[in-house]
Amino acid sequence: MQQSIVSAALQLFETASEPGTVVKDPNRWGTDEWRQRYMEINSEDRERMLRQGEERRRERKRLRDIGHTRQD
Amino acid sequence: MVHRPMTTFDRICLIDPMYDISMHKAQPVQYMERTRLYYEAQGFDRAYQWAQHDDVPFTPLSKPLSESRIAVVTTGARYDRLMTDPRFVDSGDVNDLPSHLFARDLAWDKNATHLNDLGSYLPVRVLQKFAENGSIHSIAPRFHCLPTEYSQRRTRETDAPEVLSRCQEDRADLALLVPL
Repeated sequence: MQQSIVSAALQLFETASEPGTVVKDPNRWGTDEWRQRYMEINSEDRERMLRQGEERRRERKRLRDIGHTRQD
Repeated sequence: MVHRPMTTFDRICLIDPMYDISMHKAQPVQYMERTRLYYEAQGFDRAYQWAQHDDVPFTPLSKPLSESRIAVVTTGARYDRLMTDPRFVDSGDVNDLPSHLFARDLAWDKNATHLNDLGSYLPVRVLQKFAENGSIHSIAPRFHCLPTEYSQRRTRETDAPEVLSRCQEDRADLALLVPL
């Protein structure tokens, strides 16, 4: 499968005639369960998510304050 | 605002696992909208601004694939990075591949898949086979780790030119981008 996907990507180099060309690969993921679940937000998760966000903002500020960021 | 096109390689090819081609469930996952809602739920008040480039240069192949050298670019890292760690362009040797790359700091479906199968997101060995059978001329000696950055400016003005420069040093004709 990896071979066929890479091969299709390489063929696109030869066949694309304009920018933004998208080709649908015929391979399937297996199940569709992940589609619903991906980045799903459940009401019972909201408080946990807000806490996560707050922790992340706090940590970012701490790192900014000590200069642990990209300078370019 | 003036956008400078991000397409600094001869070609950019995206393999997008989010896109489902099934005839009866032909709707792609609304990745951008879900991402926006997810961060909104985490209390971030400024939605991420996705890069959009309406004017993208396009250059047809100047020589056949069988005569082309191909570089691979990934958004994974060679070291275990935290979400808050600074990210930099990095490169690895295609003849000394790690068992896997690291990307726990990036947003991808960690329930549906994993990083244990290097070939599923860094197709170096497949390309080496293609070079052996003559489908491509060769694979560039280094693969490149391109950091995803909140700052579009940093990607456009620092990281993408750096990857381009390394691809050119390696005399790559094409770059295959495989984002995680």
